[in-house]
Amino acid sequence: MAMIFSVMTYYNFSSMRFNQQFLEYKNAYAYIQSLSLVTSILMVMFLIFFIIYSSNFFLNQRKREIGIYAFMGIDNYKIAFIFALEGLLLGIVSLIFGLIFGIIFNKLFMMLLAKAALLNVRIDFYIAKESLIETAIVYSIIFVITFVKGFVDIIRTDLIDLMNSLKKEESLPKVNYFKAISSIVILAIAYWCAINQAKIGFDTALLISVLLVVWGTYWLFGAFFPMFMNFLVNRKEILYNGTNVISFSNLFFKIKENYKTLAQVAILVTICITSLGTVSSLKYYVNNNRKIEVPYSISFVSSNQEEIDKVYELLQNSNYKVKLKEHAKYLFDNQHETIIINYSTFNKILSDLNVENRQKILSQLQLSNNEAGYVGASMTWLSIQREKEQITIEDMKFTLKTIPKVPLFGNGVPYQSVVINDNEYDILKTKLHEQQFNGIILDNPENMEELTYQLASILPEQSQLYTSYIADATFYDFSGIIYFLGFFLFLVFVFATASIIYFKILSESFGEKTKYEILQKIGATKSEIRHAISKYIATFFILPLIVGIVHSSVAIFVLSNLMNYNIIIPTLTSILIFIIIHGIFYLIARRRYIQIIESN
Amino acid sequence: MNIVLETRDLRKEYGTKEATFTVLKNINLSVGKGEFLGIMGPSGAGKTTLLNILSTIDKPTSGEVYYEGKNILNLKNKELSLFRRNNIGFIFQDFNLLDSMTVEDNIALPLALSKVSSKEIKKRTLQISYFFGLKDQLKKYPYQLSIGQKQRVAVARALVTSPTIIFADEPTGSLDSKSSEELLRYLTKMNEEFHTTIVMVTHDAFAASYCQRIMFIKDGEIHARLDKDNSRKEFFKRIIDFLGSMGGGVHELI
Repeated sequence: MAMIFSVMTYYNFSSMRFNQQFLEYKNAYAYIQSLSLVTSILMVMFLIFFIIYSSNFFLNQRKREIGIYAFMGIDNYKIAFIFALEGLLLGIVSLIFGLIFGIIFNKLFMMLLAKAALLNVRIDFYIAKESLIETAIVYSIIFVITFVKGFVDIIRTDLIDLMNSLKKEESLPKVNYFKAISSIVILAIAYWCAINQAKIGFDTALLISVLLVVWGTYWLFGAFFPMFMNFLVNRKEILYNGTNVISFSNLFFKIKENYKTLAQVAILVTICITSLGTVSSLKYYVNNNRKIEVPYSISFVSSNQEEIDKVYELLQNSNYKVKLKEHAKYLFDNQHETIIINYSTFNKILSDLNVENRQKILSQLQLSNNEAGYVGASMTWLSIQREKEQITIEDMKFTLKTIPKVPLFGNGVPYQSVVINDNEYDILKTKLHEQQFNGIILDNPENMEELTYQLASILPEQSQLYTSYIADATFYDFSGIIYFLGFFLFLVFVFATASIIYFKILSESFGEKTKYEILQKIGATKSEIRHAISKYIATFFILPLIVGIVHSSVAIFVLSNLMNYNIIIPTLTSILIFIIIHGIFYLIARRRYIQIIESN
Repeated sequence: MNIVLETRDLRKEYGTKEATFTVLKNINLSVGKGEFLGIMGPSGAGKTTLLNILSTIDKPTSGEVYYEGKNILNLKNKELSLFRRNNIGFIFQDFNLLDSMTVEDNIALPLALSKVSSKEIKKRTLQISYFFGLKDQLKKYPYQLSIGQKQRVAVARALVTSPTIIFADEPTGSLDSKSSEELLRYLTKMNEEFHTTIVMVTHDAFAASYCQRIMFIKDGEIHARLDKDNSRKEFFKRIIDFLGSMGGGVHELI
């Protein structure tokens, strides 16, 4: 099943490159093409790893079966051939089904992609022949490789190994204190490097911290956790408490045995969460800021009613529906390059634009005389703290109170703004030239290239015409694509990661059966045994999860410093999503494990 | 003498309605407190099945099993597990020690499950390890022990909960003659000093000679009983004679 899903995904990713409609949309094309290529390559690499891993697992399961065949006298080559052929057939079937499902879902996938990219294009059903071929080729190669590998593996195993493969003798794991302590130190150094990347140079810091994190994680699972388990096992007060006696001693052995897998999983978790966190942060940032930078589909400055009417006439004769018309009077102070609006206008704009928290903002903004609210210019990413500063406009003094960044006029009129109460505005009105800002929100602000040119032709140059089209939509589309692809890849990786643990745990369940039978005979109740198993499996899932979360948190922390933006929300969301999926896999694994143990 | 364990008309059948195979029938026996009872018989006679039923691991098709007067077949699964844990000790032919635990932890296992205080557990484990000569092996793992030592650990584990009765299924089956003898002497010592009731299933006449009383099972029924009157050597000889007189049905002699 996993194979089918992966074939589907691969097909979809590669089909992006060949989809005709995307080819038409030239702006997005270049980005999409390179992204599709990159993701395809990433997927292939990962999938090879994954397929080999899972086929090894299944092969191990069948070892006894193979042993029996060999025992009965079928020669090794025939056995190998049978199994490898089976694998190949399975592969071909999943390839076919995967492609079929891939085609069916392709339209959906493309629609989602387009939506994410903010490209409002209608997507038709399309079968990309080139993608079909490409997917088929890639997967065939993978399957052939697996076939050959399986074949060779079987031939090389001894009969005795096969028969005894379930009765492995466990040797005592040694606790290496040096490595254990070092692992913590190494990780600490890695974190320090990452956080202080400004001092050492970003590239150096990246390289060092990644290498150190990988190294540290391996030793963490290879030495530190076993040391910790050993400690627990020696504290009899803890060990002799109910089912702990079973699960803890098991863990001590099994962690040391499986430390490589656990470390790899932890690193994969880190990659998953960090990448999702990064792309969602980007999207989050972009989303939140777009409203401030481009609150209107069209904006221009004009007090000339004739001009304004011409604009509306143009719009009426077009396909565009006007959703909102905003007219705001404002004053402009040349000395400070500041926009001045009165409280009523401020109120009106906020409510027209449906700004979140506006009730809170408005209620907190009590403007007595000589006070002014301050809103930073839309283009700046940081609002400089100007609280309590004083400015003088035309002999009137004002003390500033900062307002959280809200959309006002957008990038069309890119200056800082102050809000004063209506009375004082009327006074200033007499001293400064009042202008009118016009903002229009369209219901369907797509493909505004032509409209923009038309508007430009009817409006004078000083009107500071600004439209969504001008707002460099490409940048925002780009981030949408990245987010969508990143999320999709994330899902794939998460599934693969969790299933690695799943396979690992399940493969040992068969050998553990006798152990639990003994326990039952000695008098452990069924529920106690289940409890012990749950604890044991949970630890296997949780340890790499926690390690991964810690690593990613540091990485994302560094990112947020770079972006100078609070990205806690998207980060937490990413982590949460991951935990949920991980948790589901835990439940499935646990259920299956118990099933196997309890089967007669 | 108190009766610790008693059965009435035990019967065990396998298979479907059309083709039933009766493994045990008309089993009526009683075990007194402090007895060392042996159950002998050819393979397929039903010894292990009987042991499994007596030790509550299995349920009979019909008949009753009483422990100190209480009918344990009425107990539900969970209660049965707990009953087993607190009142019954097991010794298996292949020791069944847990490889991932130290000797000390293996012995302590049943007590730990019952959530006895760790201080108490440590004390009892130490005491028992003295008795079995295992004090120096406590921190080792099973794979580091000799075969005789492993079996002693298994016996120690069975004894640590101070059970009402200990069941042993071919405990000497995997041991060489020297370890075998050593183990049997320990069992006897246990029986004499602690008055532990022991029921041992074996096909080995030498092992059986350590018992006070032996029951012979053939084709699912109790065929005969032998009591030890004098010395073990003399008992041993009588057992061999009896087995010989039972005819070709018995193949496993020393």
